[in-house]
Amino acid sequence: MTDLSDRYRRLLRWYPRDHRRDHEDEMLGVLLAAARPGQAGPSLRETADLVLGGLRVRVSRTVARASGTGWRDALAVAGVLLPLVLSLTAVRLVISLWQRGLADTPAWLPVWPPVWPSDWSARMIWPVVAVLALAGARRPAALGAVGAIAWWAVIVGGEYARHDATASVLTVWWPMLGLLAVAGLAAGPGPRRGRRILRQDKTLLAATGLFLASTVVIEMLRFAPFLYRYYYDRCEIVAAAVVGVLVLWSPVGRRLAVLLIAPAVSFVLLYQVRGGGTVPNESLTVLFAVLLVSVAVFVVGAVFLGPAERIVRLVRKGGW
Amino acid sequence: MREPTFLILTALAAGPQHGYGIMTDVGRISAGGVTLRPGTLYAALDRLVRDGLVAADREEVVDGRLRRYYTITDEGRSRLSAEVVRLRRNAEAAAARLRPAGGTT
Repeated sequence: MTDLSDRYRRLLRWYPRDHRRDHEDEMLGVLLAAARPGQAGPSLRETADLVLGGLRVRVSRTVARASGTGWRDALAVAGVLLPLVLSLTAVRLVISLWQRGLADTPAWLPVWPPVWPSDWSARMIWPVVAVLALAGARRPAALGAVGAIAWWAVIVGGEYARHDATASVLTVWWPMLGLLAVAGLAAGPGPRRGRRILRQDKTLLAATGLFLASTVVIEMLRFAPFLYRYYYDRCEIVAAAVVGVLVLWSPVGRRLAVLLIAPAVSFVLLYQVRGGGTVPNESLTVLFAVLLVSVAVFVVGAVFLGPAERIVRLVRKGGW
Repeated sequence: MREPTFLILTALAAGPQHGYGIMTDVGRISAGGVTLRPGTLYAALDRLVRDGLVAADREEVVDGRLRRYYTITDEGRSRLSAEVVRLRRNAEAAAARLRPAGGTT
C-alpha cells in the first residue's frame, strides 16, 4: 500500500503547491479508499484523471487570478453597496422636501437641491433596488436598476429634445454609478456574495455603516440650523476622510474605489466644464470626452493597483 | 451548470460529506451513470469553494489520514434550486412534446 500511496503522491505533483499543501493527504485518503484490493499502481484512467485534474486546477486558478477574485468580489460588493448609496439620494430629496415645508427654516440655510431635479422619480426607484439587492434577488434588482437608468434617459432625452436641458447632464454621475450597480448585480458572483464579503470584511462594513449613518445624520443637521451652521462642513470632511481611509485599508475596498473612479472623475470634470452655468446641448462632445478620460483613468488605476500593492507588501516586510 | 457540478451540489444538499462520500453519493444519485474520479472531484471542489458555492466544514483524522468535510453554502443552495427549476421546466417541455396526442404520459 505504501508503494501505491507513493505513486499516487507522485501524480499529485501535477497540482499546484498550495493545493497539495491543503489537499494532498485528503486526496490520498480518497484515492486509497477508492483503490481496488491488491491494486499495485494507479490505473491509466486514474493517471489521466489526476493529470487532467491538476492541469484543470492550475488553468482555472490562472484564469481566476487574471480576472482577479478581488475584482469579482469588489463587483459583488458594488452590487449591494451602490443601490444603497443611490437610495441615499432619494432619502436626501425626501428630507429636502420635508425641510422646504417647514415654516421656521432660516433664510440663510442652503436648501438642497436648489432646484427640484427633474429626474427625481427615477431616483426613487433605488430604495426598491437596494431592498431587492440586500435580499439577494439579483435579477429583479438588476432589472429595477436598469429601469431607473432607462427612466433617467427618457427624462434627460426629453429635455434635450425640447432644448430646455437645465443641469440634467450633471446628473449623469448617478446613472454611471447605476451601470456599475447593474454590472455588480448581473455579472460576477452577485449580491449574496457581496453581502457575505461585507459581513466578513469588518473594515469595509465599518466604512459602509459610517458613510450611511453620517450622510443621514449630516442631512438631519438641517433641522438644527445652529448645529448645521457650525458643524456641517467639518462633519462632512471628517466623515469623508475616515470613510476613505477605511475603504482604502481593505483590499476589496481598494478595488471598489478604482471601480468608482470613472463616475467620480466624470462628475468632477463635468462640474468643471459646467463652470457654474448649465451645459448646453452642443456639449455632448464634451460629455463623451469626459467619459473617455474617466475610463482611461480607471484603466490606469486598475493596471497599477496590483503592482502598487505588491510594493507596499515588500516595504512592510522590509524586503525592499 | 455542468453535470458534475450539479451532482456534487446535489450530494451536499443533504448534508456535509467528505471527498470519498461525495464520490460514492454522486454514483448513487446518477444511478451509476456518472463515475466521479478524485481528480475531477477536487478540480470541481477547488472551483466551487472559490466561487462560494461550497465551503470546507470540518476535518477529522481516520486511520491516520485527513478527512475533510464539505458543505453547500446558501449561495450554492440557491444556484442549485435555480438549476433544478430550469431542468424541470426543460424536462416537462420535452415530456409534453413526446406525449402522443390524447395520451396520458
